Amino acid sequence: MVHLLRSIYYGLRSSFKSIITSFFSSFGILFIITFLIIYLSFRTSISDFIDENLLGSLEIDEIEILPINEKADNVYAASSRQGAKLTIDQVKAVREMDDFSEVFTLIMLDYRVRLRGEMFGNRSTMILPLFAIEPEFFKNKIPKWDQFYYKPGRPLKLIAPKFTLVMLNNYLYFNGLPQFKIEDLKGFPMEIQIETLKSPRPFPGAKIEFKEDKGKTHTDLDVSVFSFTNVTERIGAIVPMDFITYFSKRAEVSSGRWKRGYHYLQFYAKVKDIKKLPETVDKLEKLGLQVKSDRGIADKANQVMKIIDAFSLTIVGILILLTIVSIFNANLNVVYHMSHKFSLTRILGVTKIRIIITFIVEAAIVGAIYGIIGYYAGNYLFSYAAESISSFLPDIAGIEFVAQRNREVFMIAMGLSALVSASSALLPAIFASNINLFKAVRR
Amino acid sequence: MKKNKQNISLLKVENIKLKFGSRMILSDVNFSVEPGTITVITGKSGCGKTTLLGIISGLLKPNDGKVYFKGKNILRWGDIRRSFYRSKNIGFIFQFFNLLNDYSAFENILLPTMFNPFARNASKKAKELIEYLNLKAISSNHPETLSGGERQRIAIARAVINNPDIILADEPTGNLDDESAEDINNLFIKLAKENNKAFVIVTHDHRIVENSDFHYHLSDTALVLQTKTKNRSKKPAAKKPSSIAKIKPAGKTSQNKSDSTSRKNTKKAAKKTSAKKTK
Ligand SMILES: Nc1ncnc2c1ncn2[C@@H]1O[C@H](COP(=O)(O)OP(=O)(O)O)[C@@H](O)[C@H]1O
Ligand SMILES: [Mg+2]
Repeated sequence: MVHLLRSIYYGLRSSFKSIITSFFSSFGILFIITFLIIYLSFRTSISDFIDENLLGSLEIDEIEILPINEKADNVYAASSRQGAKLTIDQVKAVREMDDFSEVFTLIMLDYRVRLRGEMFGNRSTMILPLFAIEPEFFKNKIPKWDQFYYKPGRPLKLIAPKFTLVMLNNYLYFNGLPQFKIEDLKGFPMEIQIETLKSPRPFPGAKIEFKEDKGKTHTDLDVSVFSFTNVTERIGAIVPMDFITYFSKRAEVSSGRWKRGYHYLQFYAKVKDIKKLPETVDKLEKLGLQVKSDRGIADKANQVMKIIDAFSLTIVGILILLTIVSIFNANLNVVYHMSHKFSLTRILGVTKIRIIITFIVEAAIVGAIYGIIGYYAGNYLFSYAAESISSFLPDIAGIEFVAQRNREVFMIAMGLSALVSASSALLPAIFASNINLFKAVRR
Repeated sequence: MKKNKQNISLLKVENIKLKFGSRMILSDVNFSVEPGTITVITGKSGCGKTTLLGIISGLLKPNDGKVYFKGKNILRWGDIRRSFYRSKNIGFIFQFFNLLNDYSAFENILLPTMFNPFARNASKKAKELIEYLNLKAISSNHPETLSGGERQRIAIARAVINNPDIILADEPTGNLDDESAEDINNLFIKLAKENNKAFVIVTHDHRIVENSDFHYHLSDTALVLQTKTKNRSKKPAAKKPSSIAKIKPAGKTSQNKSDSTSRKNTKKAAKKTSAKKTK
């Protein structure tokens, strides 16, 4: 036991010296890792920016289908008059097409809705159109999507467009108030008021207010913010689809004559085969519909990313090769200077494999340490650069640069660095184990 | 069975041939080594003596021939087993000591036990050795601060700490003053006779040659046993330890196989040495 401990102690002691030596020779690794960390952070920031701002949050095989008279590139303008409607025939026809694996419909409640809220002491009211999409649409788009349904008696859940958050924060910013994050606003309570001609049938959870104001009835409901999205940029909020059907059914019955209570605005559809998209577009145009797809932009963005990646990875590859060569050289130097010790220990009974393993493990330790240093150095430099980059490059001021501080990147940095260091030590280690023993000890 | 075991030498080297490139270094090397004896190998520098020690210790592979340790051919072993053999059964002593300057004398003595997975009570053994070899005063010093004789005694302690059967020494007194050389020589005799160690010593030192049990001369790639009469004429035979008489025949039997060649070589060697002397 004592012997084992002492062996470990001597091993560590002699390793410590060689680790210090190879620390200086392996300095180049630090640059690769730092570069890699900065690159990864930039890449993630840019690709997040593209995903969020250029592509919305639609997937590559998802398309939007709108009435032909809708201005597809001007949904803000469209939302002010709530846009063109889809006819029931169009809805049926699209649902019958077998080009799609999934079809979702965006519907809108026909009744006027007001959002009433109090913020920082100001009471305000604004018109808030209510939309709905089938809940499955939000799968993989928002967390806990399967809890997005209406439960009578509980506050109505609501998904707000992301830009409202931006607008709110702008408002807060100019008033010198603290900004909100998405998380802060989840569950934020508000109140809406739905206006119908006659009072709907008694409505669970609603504080029904019979205001016989020019023959109109107001239904008040508590709402809470469930999430934010940017799949639609229409001004309004998305509520669970079952609420819209539930409410309009009651309103219809109490109004005494048949009325659907909501209308169809557009589809979100997932195409089965993206290559057949042109044919699908043809079919839809014949139905009086048009297609809006992010695919073109997505493809271009992907191509650009690929070029950037290929370029950066080539640089990283060249850097790694250069580093391996330079460390290899330095390691040979170490082997040369330590040849006396290596050959002596060989004569005293150390195996070749032990010399090789020791050499490589020491190199890997040095590499791992550089990986850790490189990770923090990269993050620090990136954060520093991120702060000042907008003043150098105003064009990319809108991109939010976030350093990649997570365990995966940390492990990658450490592992890659250890690997680079160990592989540049492999050949020198083999040389060390094959040193001409007597030449070395003869001096 | 018992007889058989008696016939097995501690170390037996058979028909070793070794070339470096096209140059023949060793071509006819046969000898065996028994416990408690001192075998000396002489020969002019560059003739392959160190190379021969390398072969015995399993660090160098000859082109042909066999090295039996306790009846087993070490040349057929892989690196791990040969390394273990070196660690457990072989001690090495060099002309230039080869101590590590990063470590104290005591730590240098302990060094071989670090590579020997079966070493037990290493520091106790080291302390005993320090006592036995009279190194107490210098055991905490670093090698650079010691004299040549002291360094060599530390190296000897390092060579024997794993309790090897064979100690290989390559010109151990070549770098020492007369007095220290005498000390080292006496230490070899003490270790051989008191501890039954076998020594194979490459040397030019006449004292070591005179005190040896067997003297081989390496010349023209062949190893030739020298007759002891020459030495006896210089020094009284009475000085030789009595145990040698018993062991010597064993050494001779091994020689019998290549009797005719060795005789020829002896003649050759004799001619050469006489030619040298006339120069
Ligand atoms: N690895 C080697 N490759 C080629 N030649 C060598 C090698 N090692 C030793 N030699 C040569 O072999 C000869 C014998 O060397 P060595 O055994 O060291 O001689 P000695 O110890 O008798 O002085 C020398 O001429 C030496 O230069
Ligand atoms: Mg030599």
